[in-house]
Formats: sequence, C-alpha cells, structure tokens
Amino acid sequence: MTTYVLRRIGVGVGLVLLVLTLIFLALHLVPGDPAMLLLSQGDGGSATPDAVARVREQLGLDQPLLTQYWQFLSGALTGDLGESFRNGQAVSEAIGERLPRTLELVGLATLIAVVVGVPWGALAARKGGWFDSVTSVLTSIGVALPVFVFGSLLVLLFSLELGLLPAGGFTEWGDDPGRHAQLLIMPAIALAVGFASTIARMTRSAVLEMLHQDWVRTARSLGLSRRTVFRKYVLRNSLNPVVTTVGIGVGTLLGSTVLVEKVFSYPGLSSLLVDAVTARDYPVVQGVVITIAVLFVSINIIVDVLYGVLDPRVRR
Amino acid sequence: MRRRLAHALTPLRLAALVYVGLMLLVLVAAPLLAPADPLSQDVADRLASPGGAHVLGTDELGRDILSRIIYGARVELLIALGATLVSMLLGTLLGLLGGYFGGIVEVITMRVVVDVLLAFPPIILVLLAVTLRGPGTGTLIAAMGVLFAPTFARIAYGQVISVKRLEFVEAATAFGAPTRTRLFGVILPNISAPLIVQVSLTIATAILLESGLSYLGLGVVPPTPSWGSMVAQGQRYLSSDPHVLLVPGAFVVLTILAFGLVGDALRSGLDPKSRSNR
Amino acid sequence: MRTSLTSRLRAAARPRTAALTAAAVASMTLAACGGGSGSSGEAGTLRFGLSAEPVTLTTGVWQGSATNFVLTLIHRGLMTLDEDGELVPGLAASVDTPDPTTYVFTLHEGLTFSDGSPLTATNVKNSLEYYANPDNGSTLIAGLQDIASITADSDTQVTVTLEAPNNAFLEFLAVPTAAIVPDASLNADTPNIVGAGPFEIEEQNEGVGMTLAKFDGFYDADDVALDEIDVAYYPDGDARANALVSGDVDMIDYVTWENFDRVGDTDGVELAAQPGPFQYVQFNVTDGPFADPLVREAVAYAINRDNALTAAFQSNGQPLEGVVTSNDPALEGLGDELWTYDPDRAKELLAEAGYPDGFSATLLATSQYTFLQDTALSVQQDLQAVGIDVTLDAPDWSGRLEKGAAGDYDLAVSGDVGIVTNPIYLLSFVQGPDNFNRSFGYANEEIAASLTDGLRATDDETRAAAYEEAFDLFATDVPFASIDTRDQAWAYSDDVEGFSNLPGFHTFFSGYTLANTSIER
Repeated sequence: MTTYVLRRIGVGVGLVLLVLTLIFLALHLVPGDPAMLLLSQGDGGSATPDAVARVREQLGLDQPLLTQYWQFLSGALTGDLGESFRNGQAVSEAIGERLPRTLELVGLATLIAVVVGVPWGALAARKGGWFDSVTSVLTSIGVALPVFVFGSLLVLLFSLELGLLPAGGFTEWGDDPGRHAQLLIMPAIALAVGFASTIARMTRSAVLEMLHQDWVRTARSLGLSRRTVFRKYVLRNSLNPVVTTVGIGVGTLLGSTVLVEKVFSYPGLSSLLVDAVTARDYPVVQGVVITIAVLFVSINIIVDVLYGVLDPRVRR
Repeated sequence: MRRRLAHALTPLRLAALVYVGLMLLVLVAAPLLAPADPLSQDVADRLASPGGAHVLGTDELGRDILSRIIYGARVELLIALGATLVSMLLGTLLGLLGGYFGGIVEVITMRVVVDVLLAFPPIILVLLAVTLRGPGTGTLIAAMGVLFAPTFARIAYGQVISVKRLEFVEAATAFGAPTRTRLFGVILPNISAPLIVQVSLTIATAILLESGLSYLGLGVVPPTPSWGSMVAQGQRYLSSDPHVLLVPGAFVVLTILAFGLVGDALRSGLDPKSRSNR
Repeated sequence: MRTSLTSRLRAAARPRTAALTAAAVASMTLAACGGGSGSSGEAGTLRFGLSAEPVTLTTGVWQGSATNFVLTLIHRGLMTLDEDGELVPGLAASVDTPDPTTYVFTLHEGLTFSDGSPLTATNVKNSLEYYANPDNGSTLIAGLQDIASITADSDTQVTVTLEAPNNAFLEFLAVPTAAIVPDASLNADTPNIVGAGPFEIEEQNEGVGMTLAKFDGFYDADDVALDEIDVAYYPDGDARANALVSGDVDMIDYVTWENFDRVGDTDGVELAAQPGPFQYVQFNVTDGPFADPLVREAVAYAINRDNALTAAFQSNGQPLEGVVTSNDPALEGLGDELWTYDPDRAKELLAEAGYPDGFSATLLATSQYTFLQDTALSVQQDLQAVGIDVTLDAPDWSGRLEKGAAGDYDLAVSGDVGIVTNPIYLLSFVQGPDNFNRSFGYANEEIAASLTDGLRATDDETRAAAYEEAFDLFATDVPFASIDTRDQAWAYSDDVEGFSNLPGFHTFFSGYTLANTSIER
C-alpha cells in the first residue's frame, strides 16, 4: 500500500509539471495583449504604441518565450509565482487569501450535498414507488437548474423580499464571524443543489444495482434481516461509484464555483481565475491553475486510497 | 426481452420518450414549425408577455420566443448530444483500455490523459478553447466533449477493475475469446449501466454548462438562439419580465428530465443484470 | 478672450462658495445629532459598491472608470469640477489669464500630500511636465502639447505659457489623471497612491475592497463631511444593484440599464442618471467597401437609432444623429444632425457607390459587454435591411481590443467618452496612431485642421465657424457613424446628501463631489 501511495505521489508531481507547461503554452497562444489591456479599459482613451511597448517591457513580455518559461518554471519550483499584472499583488498571496474562501464554500456545499444526497438516493432505491418517482423528478430539476438562476432566486427571496440575508459580498471571519457565516449560506446552498441531486441519482442507481446482486439474495437466505443486509453490505458496497462521483465533483466544484461567486460577488479562487483570463493576467492564471492541479492531484490520491479501503479487490 | 422492455416503459418514461422524439422532430423540422423568424427584431414590441400575438411572448429585442425556442432546440441538442457523444466514446475507450490492460497503458490513459484533463479547472479549458478558437457551436462541442470524457473514463475504469477478475471474464479468457471480444463483448455490456446513467447526466450537464458559459459570454455567437443563451439573457429581466427567463428555463428543465427518464428506461430495459425495475 | 474665460471661471466659483457654506452647516448639524449609528453602518462612513476593482494606479495613465473614481478621491489637480460639472480651481486658489497663452496659478497656502510632504509649485511644474511628455503614456497630450514653458515663480505660484491659445487647456487640468503628485510618483513603477485629495487610502484588500479615510491636509478639509469611505467591489451589475436595494451599501456606481426601474422604484433609494458615453460604428477603411465615404455615409443613414437605444439601454439615453457637443452654448445647433434614419437614402448611397445589391461584412462586437452586443444586434438588423449582409464577431474584451487595434474587422461597434467635453476630443478619431476604438486606417487632416482651429479660437464666433466646417466634413466623410448616447447612472440611499452625478462625459468624474457629500443615519 505504501509503495502504491508513493508511486501515485510521484506520478502526481509529473502531472503537475505537465499541467504547468501546458497552461504556459496555451496562455501565450491565446490572442490578446496584457499590456494593451492594462492601458485600455474600454470607456475612453487609448494608449500610444510607445506606452504599450514600455508596459510590455516592464512586465517582461518582451523576453523570448523560452526565457519567460524558464523564469516561470524556476519561480514556480521555489514557490514564487510572480506578481499580478493588474494590481502588483504577489500571486501566492492572492491565492493564499482566496483559496481558503473557495475551500470553505466548496466544503460546506459538499457537506450539504453528501448529507442530503446519499440518504436520499439510498432511500429512493429502497422504497421505490412514488417516492422514487418524486426523487427522480426533483433531482432532475436540481440538476437542471442553472446555478446562477437559482442563486438569483435565493437573493430575490431572502435578501430583497424577506431581508434576512445580505445579497452578497464577503467579510473576513476575523472581522465579523456572524456576517461571514451569513454571507456563506446562500452561495453554499446554490452550489449544493445540483451536487446533491447528482449524488442522490448516483447513489440510487448504485444501490439498485447492488440490490439485484446474487449475494444479496444469498445473504437474505442466510437469515440476515433485510435491514442488516442493506445497511451493512448493500450501502457500503454501493459507495464505490458514489465516492468517485463525490471525488470528481469536489474537483469540479473547486474550479467551477465561478458562477456562484459572480452572482454573490464572493471573491473566491474561481472568479480570480476567470477575471485573470479576461485580463490576460498570466502570472495569476498560471498560479491558480497550478494550485488547483496540486489540489486535484492530492484529492485524487486520497480517493484512490479510499477505493482500496472500500473495495479490497482494488488493493494490490 | 420484449417483456422486459414493456416492463421498463412506465407511463412517465413513455412520455419522456415521446418528448425526446418530438425534440428530434423539431431538430429536423424547425423551419416548418416556427411561427416567425427567430432573428427578426421588433423593438417596439419588446418584452411582450406570453399570450397575445406571440404565444410565448418576446425577448428584449422583440424576437418571438417560441420561434427562438424551436430553433434553439436545434442548437441545444446539437451541442449537448455532440459533446456527450464525443466524451462518451473518448472516455469509455480510455477507461476500458486503462482498466483492462493496466501497466503502461493505464499510466498513459488514466494518469497522463485523463488526470491532466481533470487537473485543469474545467472553466479554464473552455475559456482557453473559446479565446483561442472563438466562441461557437463547434468549439463548444469539442471543448465540452474533452471536458466530460474523464468522467466516463474514470467510471469505466473503476468498473473494469471491479469486474475483470470475476468468473465470467476469466471464463471468456479460458474459452480463448480474443481480446476485442472480451473488451467489447463481455466487459463493456457488464459495465454499461453506470455509463448509461452518466450519459443522461452528461446531456444535462452539457445543457447546463452551455447556459453557464452563455452567462459568462462564452456561449454560441449571437444572434444564434440557444436555450442557454436565452436563459442567460433572461436572467437580466428576472424581476421585471420573468417569462424571458422562465420559458427557456422550463424547456431546459423538461429536456434534462426527459433525458434522465429515457436513460433510466434504457438502463432497466437493456441492462442484463437488472431483472426487475421500479 | 481674457474677459470671457476669467469671468466664466469667477462666475463658476461663486455659487460654489455658497454651496460649501451650506455643506458646512449641514456637517455641523450632522455632528450635533450624530452618534446614532445602527447596524446599517457607522455615522460618517459611506459604504460604496464599486463596479470594478481598480488596477494598480499608474501616474498619468487613463486606466478606466473604476480607477478614475479612486483618483477623484485621493488626488486633486490644479482644476476640478463643481457639483454642476463646471470647471473651478482645485489646488489652485485662483487662476489668472492675463493673455490667451499665459496662465498664472496661485496655490492654496500650506498644501501637503497625504504622506506629509509639502506640495509646492515645483511639484506642479514637475507633474505637468511629466504629463506633457508623450513617452509617459499620458492621455492629456492633446491638452498639454502646447505648453511652451512652466515656471515656478514662488512656492505657491506657477506660470504656464502656451505656444498658442488652447481653450481646452484648463479643462484638461481637471481630468483625474492630471493630478499633482509627489516627484517620487513620477514614473511608471511607483503606485500613484500619494495625493492631495480629500481622502487617502487606509487599507486595500485585493478582490474585496478598500477603505479610504478623510485626509486632514486637503485644502478644503473643513468641508469634507465623510470620515471614511468603505469601498466593496461588486463587478456584477445585478449583484451591485441588489447590494444597494437590500441596504448592504449606501451607494453604487454604474447602474446597469435593466436595473434602472427596479433601483429607481425602490423606496429610500435615488437613481441619478446623466447622458454619458456615446455609441458608434467604426470602419476599417484600408480596403473593401468601407474605404468609400459613400458606403460609410450609407451606414450612418441605415441605423435605426431609436431601436438600438431601446434594445441596448431600455431607452435610457438619447439617439445621436451627429456628434456630442456637450451643450456648449457657443455650438448650439451645430453637429447634432448630420445623419438621420433613412434606409432609402442608405440604399441610394450604396447604389451610387456601386453596391446596388449590397455585400457582406463582419461586425466586431464583444461578448463581454451586453450593451455593445445588443447594439451590434440592432445594427446588424438595420444593415441587413439595406442589403449589407453582416456576420457578428464577438470575442472577449481582450480579443476585441486586439482585433480592433490590428484592423481585423470590417465594421465594429464601440462606446466611448471624450476625456474632455471640449469637442477637441474628436481629434483622436481623425488623426494620430490607430487604436482599437477608432476607424482603422482612417485619417482626415482637413477635419483635424478645422478642429484645431476651433481649439485655438479666442472668441465664440471663430470657434463656432471652425467647428461648423469640421462637422460638415464629418457628415460626408463619416469617420464614424453615431448611434446613441447612453445614460450613466449612480444610485444611493436617501441618507446620502450632496453627491451629484456630473453631466455628460464628466459623469465618470462624479467622485469629485464625494468631497462635499454627507451621510445621515
């Protein structure tokens, strides 16, 4: 098991290096000049070519691509991700500020989704009948509801109509814990709805499949109660694809909270990434992508290890 | 077989099947069905409520929403089905090969290709594709197809790992069945249930992602109607003229629901392991 | 000239004193009854929802409206704008114009920057010289290029002589990027955050917001009622409006047009709109049909301006059939009706140009700004109607800039403001290097000469005559085809007093009036 984990970590490092190289190349292929963008904000005024050239020089964009790549790589390996083109903030600092916010949001959303989704899906599979049909409809709606629409509806209801929660924004935990929590509730729910539906559907389908396995009938004929068989064996064995779904889902959520962050003006990692791409803020894009890749690889390794724990057949 | 199929078709699923059939009809016959030109603007009659001269009302440029829904169905299905097909073929193949052969094949398929794809934040893949190739249907199908492939690959991979040492696979090997038969004839049918469920989920995700990308301005190029871009545009009129959002939104939900139900029907109808259904 | 300019200045300065006295009384009243701060914010603190996070402030460079907003708070130039948008002295206590090419600025006594260092006539000289140097990327060149010499006569007096009369000179000095800054800020690398404005930056929290505190060294500090401005960034238009409507903030900039009614109808909230930037179609004139002025004129006649206005701005704006002259009384009736909506005329012009059956073209817009996209859709339909088959190209904003600057389009829709309201802002559309928001490859020295004549004019008649000539040439050569002006709105709670949305292009400089704004809870 230890060698297995070590090997996975080795592969993970290689993976991150590959991602890092790909993102660097992709960014420099994309049209759009960061220097020009910095000087042209859209509502009037346009810089002279000389001024643009000067900014390019200042940002190091006049260097040959290979030099830039080398600087980026050696910086990244020593933990120096450079500075934002836009506000001069150190990229590692920007990520350090925003990553915990997104993790907090994703963590809470995942918690809600798992706590709601797994029992719901299992119950639907076990009970069947009208409960299953209602579940099917509700989870379909849950999956089908665009997160920005659901988020806006939440704002419309809880902030504008009822005045219970602030419409959006962010406050540090240290400044005002109450408000911090208030500001987290709606984005987390908006994010959790689709995820919970996906988990419920996956759980339902996995449990259904397990229920029809021969060994379930064998266990029943051995005199185990339906309840025991379900709790101890069926549910546990059904969790394999569910864990995959949750693992992939968390990874996906990490990079795709952007819509929620936009609706609720929540300054997380995804909106940083999207804004940085829009502004061609190369150091920030590269830094965020690397961070998410590292996170993903770590989660991945954990999920693979969990596989081994839940399904001994995988263990080698 | 026939009885199983009949059994799988509950009235709800039958309705869903009919709905999907109608969607496919619309795909072909949009110009015949639409009451008006989906692009023709009538700003004087903008944001008209449903009822009146326009059955489902008009949008912010005074375009007939029903006609845009009908033409939008075309674009929507093309993108959703196209992306799902691409990702299913690509992902299943990767997972099947990686899980079955193991070793270097597994490293290349599951570690290099799939994990690199997954390690990129999904939004950046699409963002880069759109900024590189320009927004449009083709870009969306390609980018989303690649984006969704890892999910299929990992599910297929996990399933192959679980079943490849079971008796029936060993038996096939013992009887001397060629590798191709073992892969696609023996293993694939036995792991297809979660993949089929994933197809319906992927179609749903594709439709959703298309609307999210439109909200970020990365969807289809206007004035081409797509449901996603209609929802995204309608979002701006949520409090004043909700029908601009609700009409395409309802179709998005209905379609995802229908594909989900059809997926369920397929699962219980075709899966050899599923002997009864609920 | 001497009399007209100085008297205009004095006239403008007079009502301001009265207003300031009123503000002072208001602030005293406030102090008397202050202390009742509820959960909705501290007394004397304005919570502001800003539409974008400002980029690192670079001295002299125009970096967009969010950045300009911050500049209006932490910086001041020799000139500034009052609550009616009239030009008034800022750091200068008075301005004398003994002859049309000489300006004598007398500074307020004892000015300091927010880092505590004194602000002297030498700082004024150095700052202006920095802005007048084209290498420094300043957008004030058009206004400052005529400077012959700048002399610091004493610690508090500066004399600027121009090579030729320039009736926009003082207005350029009121642009936020023309602020007087310490010598240490006069380079591209030092963030331009030390100023002599009413507020200073206390804390910056990247991605979230910034806190500004009252700067006691400001020349008018006694009249500044706000102790603190708490800025939070709300890039999404709906989220910004929601924050105001739900009471999370007291004030927001840039209300998006579909939110005008909702925000305006909310009890306790005021919406202040002013006609601001103008939208237009620009052309690539290097080859193809749009090299022909007749075809460009046809486009100008084909545009249904009312439709475009409704489609993109819910009719919050005005159709624009000519060029914006900012209600300059001397130019009344000039340049405002160069083209009308007349598709038949457009077809005739196309036929005359040799395109009776039309042709096809690409129209560059952007997916990032919905209003530009909706404007493009409306224009597309209008051009289709006269036989020009238009395909839309909608990359993101960065892609739009690059394609615009490289001339990778046939037609493009744009929105723009003049840096100044003086019609000299039009000069950059007919002269100088290509950029993303002017017709690619277009130059017209005749129009440029007439516009410059207008700038040099020292009396209203000569000025009007010069611009009339320029606008006549505009009508037939069509450097761009105007569409509309859009209303630009700020919105605030009823508790906020004294803020004013400045008219016209100056709407983006309305932050100046926060120096005289108070909040009562």
